[in-house]
Amino acid sequence: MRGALGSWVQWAVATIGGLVCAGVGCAGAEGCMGGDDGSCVPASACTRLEYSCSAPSLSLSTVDHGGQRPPGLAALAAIGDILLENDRLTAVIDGLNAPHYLAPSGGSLLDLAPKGGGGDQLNQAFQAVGILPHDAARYHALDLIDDRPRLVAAVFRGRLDLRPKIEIVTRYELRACEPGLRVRTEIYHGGRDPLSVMPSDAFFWGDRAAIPFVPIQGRGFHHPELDLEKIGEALTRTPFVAAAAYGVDGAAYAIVPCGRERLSGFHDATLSAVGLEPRILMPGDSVAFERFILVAPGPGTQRAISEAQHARRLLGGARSVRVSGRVIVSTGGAAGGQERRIGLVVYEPEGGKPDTPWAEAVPDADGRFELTLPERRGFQLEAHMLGRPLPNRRSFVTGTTDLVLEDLAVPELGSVEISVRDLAGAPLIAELVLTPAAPTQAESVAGSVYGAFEDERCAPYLGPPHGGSPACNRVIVDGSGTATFFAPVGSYYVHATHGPFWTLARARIEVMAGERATETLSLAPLDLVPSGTLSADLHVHGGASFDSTIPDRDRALGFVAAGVQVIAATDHDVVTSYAQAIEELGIGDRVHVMPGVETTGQILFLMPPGAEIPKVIGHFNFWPLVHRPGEPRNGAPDDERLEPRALFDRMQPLYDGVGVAQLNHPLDHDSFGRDTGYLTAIGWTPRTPITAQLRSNLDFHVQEVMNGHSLERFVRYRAAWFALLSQGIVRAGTANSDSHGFGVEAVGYPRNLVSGGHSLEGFDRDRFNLDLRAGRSVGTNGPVIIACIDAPDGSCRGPSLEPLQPAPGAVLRLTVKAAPWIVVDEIRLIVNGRLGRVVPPSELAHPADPFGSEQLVRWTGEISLAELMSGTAGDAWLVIEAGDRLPALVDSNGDGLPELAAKLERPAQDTPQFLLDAIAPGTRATAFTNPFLLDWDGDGFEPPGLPP
Amino acid sequence: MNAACIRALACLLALLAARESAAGPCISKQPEAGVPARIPLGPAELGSLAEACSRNELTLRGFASVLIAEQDFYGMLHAGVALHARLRLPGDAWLSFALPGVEHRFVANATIEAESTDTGAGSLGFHQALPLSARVQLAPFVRALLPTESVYQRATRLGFEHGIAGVWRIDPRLELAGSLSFPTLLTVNGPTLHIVHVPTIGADAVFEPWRFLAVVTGAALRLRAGSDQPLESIDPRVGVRLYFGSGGVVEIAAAFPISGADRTDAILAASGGWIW
Repeated sequence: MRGALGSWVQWAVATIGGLVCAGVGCAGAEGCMGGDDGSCVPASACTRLEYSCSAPSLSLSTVDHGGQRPPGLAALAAIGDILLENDRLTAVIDGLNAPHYLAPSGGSLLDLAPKGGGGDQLNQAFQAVGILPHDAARYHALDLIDDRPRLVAAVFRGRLDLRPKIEIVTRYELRACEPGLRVRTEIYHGGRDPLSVMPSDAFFWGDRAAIPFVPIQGRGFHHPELDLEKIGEALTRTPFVAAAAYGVDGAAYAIVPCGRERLSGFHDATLSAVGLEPRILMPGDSVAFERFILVAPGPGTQRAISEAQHARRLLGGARSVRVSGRVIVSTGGAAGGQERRIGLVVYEPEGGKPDTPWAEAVPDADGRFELTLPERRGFQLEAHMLGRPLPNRRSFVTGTTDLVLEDLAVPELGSVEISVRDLAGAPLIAELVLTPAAPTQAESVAGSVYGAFEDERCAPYLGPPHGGSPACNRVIVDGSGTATFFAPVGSYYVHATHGPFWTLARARIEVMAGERATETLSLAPLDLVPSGTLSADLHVHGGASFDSTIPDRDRALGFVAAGVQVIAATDHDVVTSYAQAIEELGIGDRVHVMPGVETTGQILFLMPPGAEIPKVIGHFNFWPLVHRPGEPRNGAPDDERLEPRALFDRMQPLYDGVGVAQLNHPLDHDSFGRDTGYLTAIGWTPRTPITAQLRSNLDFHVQEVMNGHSLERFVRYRAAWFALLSQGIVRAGTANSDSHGFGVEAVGYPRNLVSGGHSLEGFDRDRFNLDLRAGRSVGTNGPVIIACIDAPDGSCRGPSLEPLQPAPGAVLRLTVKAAPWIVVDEIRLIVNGRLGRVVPPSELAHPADPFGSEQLVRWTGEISLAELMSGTAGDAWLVIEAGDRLPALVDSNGDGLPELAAKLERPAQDTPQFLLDAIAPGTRATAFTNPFLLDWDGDGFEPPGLPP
Repeated sequence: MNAACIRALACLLALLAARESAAGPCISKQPEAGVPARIPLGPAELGSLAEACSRNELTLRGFASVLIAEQDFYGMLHAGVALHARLRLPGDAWLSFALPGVEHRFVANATIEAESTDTGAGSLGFHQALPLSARVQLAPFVRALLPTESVYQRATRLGFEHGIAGVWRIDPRLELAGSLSFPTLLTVNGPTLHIVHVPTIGADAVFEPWRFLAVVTGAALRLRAGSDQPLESIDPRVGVRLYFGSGGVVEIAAAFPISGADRTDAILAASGGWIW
């Protein structure tokens, strides 16, 4: 009966459909616009495009070994991904079960690299119709079309995540000779309520990486910070979008609409949504979005923009012409070759309103450049040198034929050559930091990437702050011991450093136009760190992270230059090892890298009590892992939609030996609406009761107490750490840089001094990680704390999570040392979260010469434990801190998490804090020990509980 | 809803008609009879409770519906205005028209907001009165949706409805007006038909204390055939009708879906025009 009824219904539907089609007309079986029946195929996109070339090639394959990964810092192709390749580009679409970053499934454009120069700089482009997690496409099926020599294509079928009735099918198509992918997405609404959709590709730039360029009034590379609650205000319409990373040898990208004049969307340094205008999609209705995603070699966006303009012309859009020219220095000769040295931006004046940037170019080594611009329009060419625009723009008007501009003369830069030597006169890998000799000069030598990534600390600006050396106001000196670089004309101090446990050298240089300033600086190691101790930074990012563009070579050199001996390589959602760079540099005896990952929740799912908007669980580090380049995410697991306990379980079998799970920046802000700190995400404060469920989610091994330079964060993280210690959640504290480059966030500031008889020679990674987990370490960005307490067996035991029953009459034996350029003005002894004693500046040694090597010991002595513990009853924990004086703290909202009473100003040049701030911007000298857990009666450590 | 149910309903109405009145159910002291609250439950009022008495009518009807689903970060405002008419035919039959009007939708998916102003749907219906007694009258009807909606990107929506309306005059000042109908909406998108079939039953009590005033209250029950959530909605309804002059009528009414898959929070309607 049911079957008969079904047949009748089918017959009725077919009949009605036939009648309806006869009446109103049907579009026919057009792709998947009427829904995905599992066999429909969207039509080719951008059918007006037509390219030809002399040596066409085209291939389609499934990645079956790691060697098929295209070059580039962001390349992530893994076994099972789809590889589309022609004579001009390599494109990788991630496999269905290998999702990355913000996408809930595979089917995203993962890698896109041009042939013949410039590596992949694309983190990901995935399809979505809005900003919510359930607006993203979740693909579940894949069909490959091999119609060579005409085309190859990959068709991904799916639905919006958690919305099974909204079907989405995307066709990625590649043809020979074409500089981009033709992409068509079809969305069918089989649900019940009208939807507001903005069919788009979400280009996840990641911040600090590729920057989107938008040719509309007042924009270009300038993008106001995106407020996810006010997307409507951020929407723009633009004829194309381009993007490129700076400070790295990377590709450039462009997106051109097909079948329409403009793309709608929003842009910021983290993400661009590029697609159709928001529209209402009724149940039963469908919408299609076609675009051409181009790639071209860098540097800069010029080639990608030229290809975009050519494609627009083929697609029936605006006509354009080529404009070429040459940049010469005023004293003769060419200027070009590096975007940090010179770049060009072309604006269309808008008569008193903000100009419209149309193109950007980096002249080649001969100073030549070529732009493609709309015809019959007036433009102005602006040259940028070392991140600053030159005052006079060159005006010109395009006609209907190509245009050659007169040579553009720019002023000569100065160059600098600095050599760094050790005491024996041997070349030393080091870092150079330039600061203006006169602070008032800073503003005139600061710079940015055409206005993006502007940072007052980058003065003098030597290169893009998140790219390779020179970056910001810094230069890496490699094994040759000498670095040569361009600098703006001016007077500077150049500082040479090899980390906080070496002397600091400084010289004044005068940079003059067309001349080279030379200097040699010497550095010496200081007797600060006890033997058997290794210096470790357990939170470091490199170019593989979506928010970093530092090349592996510079990253690895930076480890040595900062004197860090052990690194946990913790890129966002990707395992890295730096093995190749370390081998090529021959520095394997000076640094050991533990491959790891920073799990970075991107898909909002967690609804803690009281939350109105879903959360993610923040960031956790895990190491050591195995770096597997053939696997998705180089062997890192999919970490989305997992609570910490489930994440720890997922990581457990992946450890390569003794594993460490670290809670990163536990109380950090959110980034692009994604929580970065777990405790903030769940609304935890020291007053939150520790339930069994929460306890299981706090089952990490170590917690960051210091992350980067921020003192504001330190006081909050330490308050959380103290509160957990007092409630029996005893975890080791760590101090890490969370550095994403070497331009602004200095690797090794802070770091961990891990004791236990370790050395790089015959490094025992398991024992090292066990000591970390056991809290046998001190966190520091300069000061060195050496502390131990008398034990009943006559030994003097250092800080550890292993409870210690002090010997009768035991004393705390304490020594604080620091390099002369590090300020130590205070030693704090903290018992159960309260200040037990402070050693004031008057009792401390203060070296007279910050560039010398004397007076390393700032304080040494013994402190009676009984005296220190007076006022406490029962077991207690003790933490020792040393460094700069802690500013006044307040707890304005009474949540138990303090804030600085006043904003911390950058130290002036004549203050003792200036040198550390110059080397590690924003840093104030701070060190802390892990706790001594004092078990007075030997029956195990009883946590004291929170103070009343 | 099958034939047995319909027969049972007809029997019930026949029994109720035992209290006969010489005036007939559609002859009231009021200017109109057998008219449930004018609240749209579908495009061009397909699926709305139909009238059971023949009259000539020309009214301008406006509506606004609100849906706020905070948990889904979703919201929708839908408003429109259109001209409606009824035209008496010989033989106690009439035609009903909804001319394509203007509609405005605002839909928010979190902060992705879209709005559009479009031509709405139209409809054409044929109604035939079937007096059962002096107190009860039935009126079978058919209505067709005219595919004039411009909100669709690519698809076209059509619709068809058949049903039966009825009026039971309980008292000279009180009547029960309602209908049972089977609207089917077909969204044609290429070879694909998106079919929505929403059987609807509802009734309103119309209390007329004075000649110039009627108070209407009742409920509708909507089902959705073939859906994993078969209960579309239960819609309590309320309205007030004012009559003036010779055939002038103004009505405001509202429905508040309280259960089912339809997440609409409220439907507000206002109309004004002439009946004769």
